[in-house]
Amino acid sequence: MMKPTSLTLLTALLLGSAAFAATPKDTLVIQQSNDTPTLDPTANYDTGSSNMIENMYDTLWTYKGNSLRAFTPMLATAVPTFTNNGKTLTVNLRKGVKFHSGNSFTCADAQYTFERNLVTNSAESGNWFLAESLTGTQANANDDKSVTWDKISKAVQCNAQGQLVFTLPKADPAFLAKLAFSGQSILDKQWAIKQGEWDGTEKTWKDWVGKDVQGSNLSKNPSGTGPYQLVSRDANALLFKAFAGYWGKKPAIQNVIVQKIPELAARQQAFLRGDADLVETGSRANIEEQLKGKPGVVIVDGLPNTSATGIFMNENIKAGDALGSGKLDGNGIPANFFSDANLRRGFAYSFNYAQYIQDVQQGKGKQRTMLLPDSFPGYDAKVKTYKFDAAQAKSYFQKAWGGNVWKNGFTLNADYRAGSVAAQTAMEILKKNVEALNPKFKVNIKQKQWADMLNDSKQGKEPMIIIGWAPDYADPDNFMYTFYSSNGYYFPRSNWKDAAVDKWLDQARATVNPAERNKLYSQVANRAYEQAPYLLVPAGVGLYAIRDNLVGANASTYNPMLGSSTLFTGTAWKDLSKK
Amino acid sequence: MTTTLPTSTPEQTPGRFKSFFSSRPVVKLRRNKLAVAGLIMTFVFLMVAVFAPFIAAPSQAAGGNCLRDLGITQTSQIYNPAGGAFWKVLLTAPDSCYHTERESFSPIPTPPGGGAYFGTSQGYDIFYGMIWGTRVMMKLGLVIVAITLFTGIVVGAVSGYYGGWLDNLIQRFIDVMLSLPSLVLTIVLLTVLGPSISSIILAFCLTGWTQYARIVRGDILRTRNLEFVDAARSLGARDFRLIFKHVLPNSVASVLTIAILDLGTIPLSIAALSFLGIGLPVGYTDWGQFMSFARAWMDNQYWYVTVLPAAFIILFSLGWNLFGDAVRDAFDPRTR
Amino acid sequence: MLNFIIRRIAQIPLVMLALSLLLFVIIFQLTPAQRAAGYIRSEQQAAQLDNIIRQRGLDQPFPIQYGKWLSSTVQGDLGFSRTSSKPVFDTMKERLPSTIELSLYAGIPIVLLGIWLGTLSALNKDRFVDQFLRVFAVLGTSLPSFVLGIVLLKFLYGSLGWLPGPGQVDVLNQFAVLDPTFKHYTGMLSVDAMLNGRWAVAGDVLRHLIMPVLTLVIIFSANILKVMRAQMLETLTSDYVRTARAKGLGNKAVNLKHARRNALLPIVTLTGFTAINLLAGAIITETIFAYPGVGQWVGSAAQNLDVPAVMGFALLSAIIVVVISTLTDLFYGVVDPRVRFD
Repeated sequence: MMKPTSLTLLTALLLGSAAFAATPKDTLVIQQSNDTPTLDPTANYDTGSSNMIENMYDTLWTYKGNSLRAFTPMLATAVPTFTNNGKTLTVNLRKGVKFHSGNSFTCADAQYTFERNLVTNSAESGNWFLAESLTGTQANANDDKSVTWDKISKAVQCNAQGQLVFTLPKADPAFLAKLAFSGQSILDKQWAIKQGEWDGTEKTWKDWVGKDVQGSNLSKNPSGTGPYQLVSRDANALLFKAFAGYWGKKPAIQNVIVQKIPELAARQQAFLRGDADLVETGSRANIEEQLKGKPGVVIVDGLPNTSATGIFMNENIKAGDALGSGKLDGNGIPANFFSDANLRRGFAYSFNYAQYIQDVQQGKGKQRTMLLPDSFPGYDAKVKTYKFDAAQAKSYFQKAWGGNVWKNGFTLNADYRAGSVAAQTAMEILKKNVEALNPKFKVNIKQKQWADMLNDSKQGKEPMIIIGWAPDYADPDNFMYTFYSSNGYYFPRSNWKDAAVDKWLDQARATVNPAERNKLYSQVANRAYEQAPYLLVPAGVGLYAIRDNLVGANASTYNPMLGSSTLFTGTAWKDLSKK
Repeated sequence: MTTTLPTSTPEQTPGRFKSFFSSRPVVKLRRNKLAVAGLIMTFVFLMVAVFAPFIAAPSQAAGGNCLRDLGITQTSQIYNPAGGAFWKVLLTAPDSCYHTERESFSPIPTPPGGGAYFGTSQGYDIFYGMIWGTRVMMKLGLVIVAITLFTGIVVGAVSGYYGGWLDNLIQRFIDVMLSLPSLVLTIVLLTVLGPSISSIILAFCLTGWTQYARIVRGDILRTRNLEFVDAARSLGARDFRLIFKHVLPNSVASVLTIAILDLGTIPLSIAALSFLGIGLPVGYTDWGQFMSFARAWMDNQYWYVTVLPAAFIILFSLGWNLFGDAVRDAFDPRTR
Repeated sequence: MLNFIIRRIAQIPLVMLALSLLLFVIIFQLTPAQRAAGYIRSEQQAAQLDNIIRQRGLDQPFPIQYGKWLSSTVQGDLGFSRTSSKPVFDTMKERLPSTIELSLYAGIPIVLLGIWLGTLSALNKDRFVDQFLRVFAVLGTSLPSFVLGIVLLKFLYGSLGWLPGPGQVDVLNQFAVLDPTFKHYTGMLSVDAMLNGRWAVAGDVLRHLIMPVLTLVIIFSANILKVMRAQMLETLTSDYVRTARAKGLGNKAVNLKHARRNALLPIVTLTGFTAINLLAGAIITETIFAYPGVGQWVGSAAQNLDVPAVMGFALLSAIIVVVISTLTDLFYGVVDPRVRFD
């Protein structure tokens, strides 16, 4: 009994991994660095979870191919159009769709889903923007007493024909895009209730307000209508298999395994050996130096980047200690230091955009004209941009504050988020160039824990920070309002207020005609160039690496709005196959 | 149990030195080749730490603020003992000098050569990081050990000498501290305090004194009932005088040995925390960070990003351990 | 003796209480906003900072929050760990066996090797073997685990490719593990694989264990070696060993029966220490080798200020430490009749 045992063991030990290294053709192996926070769509608000959820669940519609403007129906039979001045949306639902649990999909499931999202609307989740459209407030019923059961249940209803009807308090051009987010995937009502989740009734809704469902039973035992269903999971990995009852085209990949490998070097090795088909590849530098040109590796480059990053210049700094002396005497800055446009322009001319692109983005970066991704509707490529120009910078610094800046110098204390290499580098480049202009210019940069950073920047205590924005849904308003409006989310960090810009942005919000909207956004961008409220950090060009036997992943199938776009191919698993 | 009791009769200093050098433990130390090797190694590191500014001189080109904060413009000025910068950088180097110089902003390692003798890792000059890092490690080790040693001795002495409820309270508190791996406690403390030199010192001091207190207390319990203490007490010696004059010197040897070993291990623990990403801020001259950078670059061609920082860390630790072990052997009456 | 055991076990809840209070006091030095930041992953969520604070009750006074934690803990609910996206209890149940597995594979060779090499070194005092082992011992104790781990990875995996990289199991064997037919009897993957008859998986898991085990063995056995050597040297020169020799007992009999047995006494204590240190060392080792044990989890949990996770781990650690030290004391009493439990 003992002998064959130890012999087999020994053989297994000696054979090593080479003997097993042949991933079957119907199996997709993915390696990522982090845990998947949740498999409950209601709680989903991160790319890691989205990547799984968008393959297990379906939304009503999703982005078509690599487009950010066009949608393709999923559980709806067609992408609907608004009626009643943009306040009513009636959705025809697909028939004959089954959940993984075996239950049939009906309008009640869709209604339950959106009601659950509106009822819970926990602060950690992404449901605030659904609530904003449907109940007119971002908050849940605990935080905003105007949210009632009546309001929620009226917003989403099923009519006698089995159609889903949304009733909005006011028109919202971004609503269709919001529903394409995988957090708005349709849940299996019966299954959810069986797992002990909210039962969908008025009687119990209060108990679920604000509840964080990240670790819900639904996250443990998910059931969606999507092409893949969860088989099992442990601390290392998640295993999925193709769902036999899927309503759409049967996928080529039958099994998907997502393994957690925190170490970059290990993922790269597995990828180079062909053990893994898709891995989180790290930065462009890592891909270009360690993966590019290796046998079996294909690099897909030139992908759109949908985040926008700017260096904020706070025009009304609310902290004493960050200001140093608080005066223009060379040992500090006044609280309204950045309110002088010439000074902001001086900084904008001091940033070495080309060097940043060269060193940080390995030459693959793009200087944008505004804080809106160039792939988004509303982007205007014709707006002027700042270049690194020491002479120009010098002349603007000399003009700033009536020449006192140049004469007395300043000490600026800037912080960046601890652990963010890109932010640190951008700040260091800026510092180096600004200090080279005048020996009296001093820029001290230090890292700050995210916890402190969040709070201090929100309260307007940070003189100069670098932050970015990634879209929740593909609508320019999500960026433009956030950055440029004095009612926008980032206003307390910049305190830049321009009446004309505010007016244009509010107009754009209520404008459904795309050409008119785009014109308004161009106006904002031109004004922003002239006033230089932010320093625009160049946007890196996206890329990923795949094994050469993977079919279906290329630039034309890359959709930057999908959860998998940040880490992987920006393609649904069902559209992939292996040769 | 007769280790060298310091003689309370005042002696002339030269004589004391002489007796120190010819005392049994020291003779044993001097004979031990490994101990001498360890001592030399730690001495070299100490010298590197002291003279770091002159070995890896800060330059203008790298864009750091070290020279500016020293009030000079040329690297050569710091070599001039007549100038103020020489003494300033030697004794109170501004914080900006402890930021590793950046040769570039590109994360791709570049091999040794040119301006960077050891190459670059994550754009940082490895040589500058190692040399100034020695200074940081040495400084932190000395400060933390000094504070924890002092605290530990005082707490241990009080606990052991007075006994009773006070002793009980202190010991139970130590029990609680020791029931959680100190690394976890340190991580929590550092996350709360934020990454900086002072919070590292604070975190390590808060967790580090317990072992000394334990040892001192044990030694005191053993020695306090010895005859000479009784004799001193009957002669009317006061409590503190008793503790410090008669009881403590007996347990100092064992505590000092551990302190020497700690001088080697505490910097490594700090490096380990930086490696986990919670030590000093990124860009600070700190060895652990360089090990952490190395994780993404394991190809053979990038050997220098792993091997050079590893060599510094290992040699540093080896030096203190060789020396510390030998001291322990020397003072240990069992090994003759 | 029973009394002694009961008294020690009764200590556990007290230690836990004190420890949890200590940690809570430390964590409460942070403002509610700082603690809330742990729940936030993106800039978008930051807009909700105030709501998070309110919904989680992070701005309530210390006694109320501590009381809440205490009462739910007493009811057996340790809370939810954001780091693992699972309840704390489930996380520990899932991960602790892996840590125990690693500790066992490392711990047994550490103790045996330490004792054997220590004896060898003492018996050959000042000869080549002794010199060699002493250098090994100093080197071993000098090597920090993160440096040794990275260097091993660099060479055995990165350069030579002899051993698999970080992780617990290769991806293809991961399939077998996740298959519903694979039964998790013990939670220790190599053992479970053998019990399931999946030899390839077991072999793969064991090969992944080589490097972390090697790292731990080199570092920890060196320490035991040192103590063992010193103890052996002491007992070899002691009176009763001399007496035994004088009585005409053979060299080997004396060495093994008398000297070694007495020298082993402090090793018992040291083994207890080693067991506790393996738990602490797990944080670094498991992080380097991406090994899914409690150490890897608590390491990142502590950095994320995942309060329930850190507290849960503290309780677990208190139990382990008290149990191990009690066992050590008991064992000491069995070996050495002079020790009395009163």
